[in-house]
Amino acid sequence: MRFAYLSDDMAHLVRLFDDIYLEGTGKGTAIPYRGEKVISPYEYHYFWRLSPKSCALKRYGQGMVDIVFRSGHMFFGAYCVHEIGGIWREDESGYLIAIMLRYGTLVMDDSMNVRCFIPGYPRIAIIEDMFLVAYLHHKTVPRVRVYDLAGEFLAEGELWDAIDKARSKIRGY
Amino acid sequence: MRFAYSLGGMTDVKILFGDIIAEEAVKGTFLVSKGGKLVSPFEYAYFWRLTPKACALRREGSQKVDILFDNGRWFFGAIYAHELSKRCPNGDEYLIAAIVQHGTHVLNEEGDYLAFIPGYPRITFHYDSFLVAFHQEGPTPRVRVYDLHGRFLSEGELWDAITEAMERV
Repeated sequence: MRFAYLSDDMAHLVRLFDDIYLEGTGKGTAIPYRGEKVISPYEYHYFWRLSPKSCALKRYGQGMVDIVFRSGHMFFGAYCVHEIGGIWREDESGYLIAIMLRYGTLVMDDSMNVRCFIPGYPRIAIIEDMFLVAYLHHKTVPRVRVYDLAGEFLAEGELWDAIDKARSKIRGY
Repeated sequence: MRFAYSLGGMTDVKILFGDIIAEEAVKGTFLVSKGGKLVSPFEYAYFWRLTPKACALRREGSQKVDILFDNGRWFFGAIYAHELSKRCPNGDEYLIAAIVQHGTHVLNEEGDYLAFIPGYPRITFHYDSFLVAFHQEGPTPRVRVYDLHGRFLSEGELWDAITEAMERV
């Protein structure tokens, strides 16, 4: 299930991961549990799947979103969160997510490892399964900042020039 | 196949959609043909899958990307292209962003234009009904909200603007 409101006429259970589930309160909100233990002090209005190992939960009555990971850990207090994309390399695979906080965007994988913090709220994309690219300015052509997947800054400039520069840097010439 | 470079030195054929294929040329580039007939005047260095019904192809020796849809339509000459998001009101349906000079075209998987959004902001869906474009700067996220035809609905702090847009719709 990708996106779900919680119905207000029943106290139903929605399984998020293994033993982690949302239990409806009967008033259109839900509380997350792991086993029999409540794992968040908040009530949630709806949720959506971010990646195979993480879900976003929109707090009821607040402009805040929390994240629950398959491991049972929570990340509290983002303005919004979104999936950046998947990585399918031989040496690395998984999903990256973006967490919007004050002043910028935290990039994290869905095992909760922080990759980098990018100022502002730009569009962030994975290009060629190798680079994190943040689009910078609203000008006539896209300018970007390029990072590797560990969050190391590599290059800045017009889109393809910056990617070529980043590729050269990784190859060491 | 999600992302593929061509392999120099051998003839390789990739099926993109149905009878639309990318066939490797002698110098390691791809030519795209449908039923034996070339359907693009360009040679491509590599391509990647945008959505189940669309591929992006990077031109060889040029900083341009073309988009091919499974119905055979093309969008030529983007600076870049990416999947925007999936909307699921009636099953899976994807939108595509084609980045061009001055802004971003939003297309559906048939290759139809839905909206043009100035600049290159992050664009998302909310409630499978709105296009939300994020301003880059500021201590908290501010957005402009559009409907799926590109009509401007509201602007403001993220959740306030979405609420306002919902009320307007």
